[in-house]
Amino acid sequence: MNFVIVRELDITEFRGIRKLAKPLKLSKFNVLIGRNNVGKTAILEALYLLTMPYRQSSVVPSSPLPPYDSYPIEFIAKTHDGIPSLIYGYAGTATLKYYLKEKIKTEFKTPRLPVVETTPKEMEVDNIEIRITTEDIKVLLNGKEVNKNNYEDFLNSLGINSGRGILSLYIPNNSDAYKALDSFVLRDEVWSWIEKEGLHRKVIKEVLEPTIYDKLTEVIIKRDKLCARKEVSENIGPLYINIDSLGEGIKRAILIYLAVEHLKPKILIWDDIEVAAHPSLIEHTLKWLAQSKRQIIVSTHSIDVLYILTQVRPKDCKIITLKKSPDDIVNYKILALDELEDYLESSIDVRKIIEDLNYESG
Amino acid sequence: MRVVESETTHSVHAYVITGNGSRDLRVLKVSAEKYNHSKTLKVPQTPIKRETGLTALIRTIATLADKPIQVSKYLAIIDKEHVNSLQDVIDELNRFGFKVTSVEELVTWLWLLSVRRGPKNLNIYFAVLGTRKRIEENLAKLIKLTYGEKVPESKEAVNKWLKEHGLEDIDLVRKASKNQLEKAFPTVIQALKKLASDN
Repeated sequence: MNFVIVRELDITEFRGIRKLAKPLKLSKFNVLIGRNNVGKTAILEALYLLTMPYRQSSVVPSSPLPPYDSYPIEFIAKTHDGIPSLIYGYAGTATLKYYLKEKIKTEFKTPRLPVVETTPKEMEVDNIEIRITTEDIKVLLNGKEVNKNNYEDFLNSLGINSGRGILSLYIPNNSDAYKALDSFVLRDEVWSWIEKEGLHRKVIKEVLEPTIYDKLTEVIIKRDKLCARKEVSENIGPLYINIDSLGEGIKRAILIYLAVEHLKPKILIWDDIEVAAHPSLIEHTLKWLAQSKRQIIVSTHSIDVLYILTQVRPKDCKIITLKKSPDDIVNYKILALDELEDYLESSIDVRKIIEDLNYESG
Repeated sequence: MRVVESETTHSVHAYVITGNGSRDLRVLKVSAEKYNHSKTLKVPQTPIKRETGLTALIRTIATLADKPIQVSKYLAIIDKEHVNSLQDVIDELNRFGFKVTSVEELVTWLWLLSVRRGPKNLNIYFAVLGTRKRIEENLAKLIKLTYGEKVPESKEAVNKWLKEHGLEDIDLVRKASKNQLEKAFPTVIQALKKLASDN
């Protein structure tokens, strides 16, 4: 099993991307690189919308989606300048098409709207289209428009139930998101699962222990704050350090690990994975991600990340170099890890030659 | 002429590959500003190189030549301590599978090598820095030309002189005239002039 959910993504008129020159092919482990404002974050956000493409209804009560307590489109719109900012040029229709790796046999438990009569009760879904305008959002499964209940049926068929799981988790490079992750992890029902599954210790063992001087043993809640238990010496008892005091890199690593391992998303989307992390923390984070049973899409500007990838060598890993034309058409070229290694061994910085690569050759 | 590392460029005239440290690149960037501004040279190398010297330099060119990249001109810069003769360069190119089709000596220790690798034809301007070892010998000459002071041709002596005068090496190059630069860095400046005028 290779854990690829989305094998191809096509984007038209979404955020700063007028269109992709060709649909973006995705593997199990994908690393987006390219200049600022080339469209990396827009691609990540487009993938996050797959989790639940609709707006949260103000009429029909619906439970908020973890971990941010909002629906992806509202979460993303809030990061920018509202729903119009998600559409290229602030008017028209943004269209996102996702092609799945496998056909998902979906049984609709609720009638599909608007044409109930022609609704098949079952459908084999292998492509999804989301159309966003300032007025509404339409979702089509294999070309047929579906409502939110139908989409939830589809998610159920993917093994996502409305309780704990989510299809994709997006980690933006945004401090508000980390505040939301902190609040999420502190919830009684979430924390009890984290403890039950031993994640509060695993995060130390798996990601932090090899990368810091401090001897931390577990993450616990003290005085309603997330703290790390720190062993100092026989004479000085354990200290409980608020994770805010451990530095941004460690704090982020803890929150992301706990949220991901608790929510078990099938797709993990992470913008600027290197932020605030020492190369050793990057290495252990990448090792953790490489072993995880999910599709990974991350972005980076860091040559440390690229170098470490050649050491960690995640299975089915591709480096996706992005470039954009002046009229906002985004093209990409895929590099295998061997090619990346080839460049680095010859002291060539692949980030610097993105524009010089021939994009017609795949 | 602009020498860039990471800025956006729509058309790269040639790649600059150095087999040395960062001083060579710094001096080249400032020197190039004095010449034709319509062309861009790009440095595709990592800030920290895995290895330096002739072998590393040729390996970098070979890797780039094997990739789907349009750029076919190179300015290769290396310190004298790594190269004893033109034959060293040709032997190393051959060892990496390049076929040298022609060689033109533009000035002493600057050659224009036309090479073939698979389906690709490349032009490599191969400039050697230093008179015996390295770039500090060129800088010592530039100090003599600009300030009239004789400085020993060692890294330590040049650095000491620069520190005493409150200068960085690039300040020295910026203040120098084209004529002085041509005398102090004959190989690199001649290569820049050729690159500025070729097609």
